[in-house]
Amino acid sequence: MTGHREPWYLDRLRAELERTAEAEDRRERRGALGRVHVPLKPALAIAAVVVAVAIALTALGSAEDERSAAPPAPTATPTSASGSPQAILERLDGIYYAEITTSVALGTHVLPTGWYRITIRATDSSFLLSDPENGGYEHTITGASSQRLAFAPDGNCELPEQRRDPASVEFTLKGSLLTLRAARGGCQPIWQLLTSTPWYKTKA
Amino acid sequence: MDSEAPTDREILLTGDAAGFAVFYDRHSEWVLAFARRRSPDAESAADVTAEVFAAALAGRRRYRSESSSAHAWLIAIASNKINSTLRSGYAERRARTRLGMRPVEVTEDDITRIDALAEAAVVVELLDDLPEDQRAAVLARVVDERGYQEIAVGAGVSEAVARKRVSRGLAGLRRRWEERA
Repeated sequence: MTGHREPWYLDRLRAELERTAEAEDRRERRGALGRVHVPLKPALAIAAVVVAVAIALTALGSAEDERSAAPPAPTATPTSASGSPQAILERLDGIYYAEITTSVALGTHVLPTGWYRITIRATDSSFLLSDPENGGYEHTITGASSQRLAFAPDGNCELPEQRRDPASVEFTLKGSLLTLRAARGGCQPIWQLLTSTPWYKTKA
Repeated sequence: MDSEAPTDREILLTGDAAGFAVFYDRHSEWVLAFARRRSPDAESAADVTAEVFAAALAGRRRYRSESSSAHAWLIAIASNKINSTLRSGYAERRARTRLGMRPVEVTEDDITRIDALAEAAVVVELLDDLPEDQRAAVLARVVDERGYQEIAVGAGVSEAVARKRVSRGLAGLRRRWEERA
């Protein structure tokens, strides 16, 4: 690895990282096994899905904006009439920045502090949070009303038990200031961070 | 890296422990040298390096760069950790703490090696600044210990030109070294 035969700092650090990575692997496998258990209780699983869908639909606020939690819903909207989900996404379309100064724990990871970026693209209903270390937190928008956005579950959530939850969040966009609040469901540490600060839209 | 080897992107997104060891082997030396050149001492650099790889391990599945190499990603993490260390006066341990990593002690021998690693990396950077013909001549003479005649034949020039290239290259290295001191 280093060209030195006797173990030195980088070798010892490698050994410790390997041990840690294997422990992480075991934790991941346990999480995966835990998720496999769900189908063993189909009634409960179905009930959970029904509740999750009901929450997502309620969150959208109005009947005409109700959409399934399965992506990609807003892109299927035939018109961009003002107030339609597609028109709302087109209004939100853009890049937003905020400086996060307080760390948020995300499973075994700690989200770094610094400048974060949200990229919202109406064309594919995507909502990407980028951290200062080039980490990406991808979300798919599944519904939009005048005050709320709904999202598909974040399958990459570091907390396995939150990978199946759809999310929704209230929003306001005044000028170049985007505010997110009252998030429900989803990968909660990510939403804690997203709702902790206003986001400023760039002119580009 | 041979063409059969998995890219950094593939390793990170696959996310298994064995793959991460390959990733570490690929990048640990230059990350440590990078950290040392921007840290007050070797121990801080070692601390930052451990935190960088802990953060990379924890965040590997979030790697979203389109680049197959994670070089820029690691530099971003390292720069962030170094800036934080310089601001607070101590290296972050958060990623390591969250992962339950045990401390890896730094010995006197390690300090010597870390400093040497950073210096060697500086020389490589300085060599890269030299014109191609001078760099090739210096490497042939100093690293490969080849004679001037052999260097001249290899480069298709006269022995006098080969000597001139080596002496100019070494003078250039010396000047750049003194400028950075």
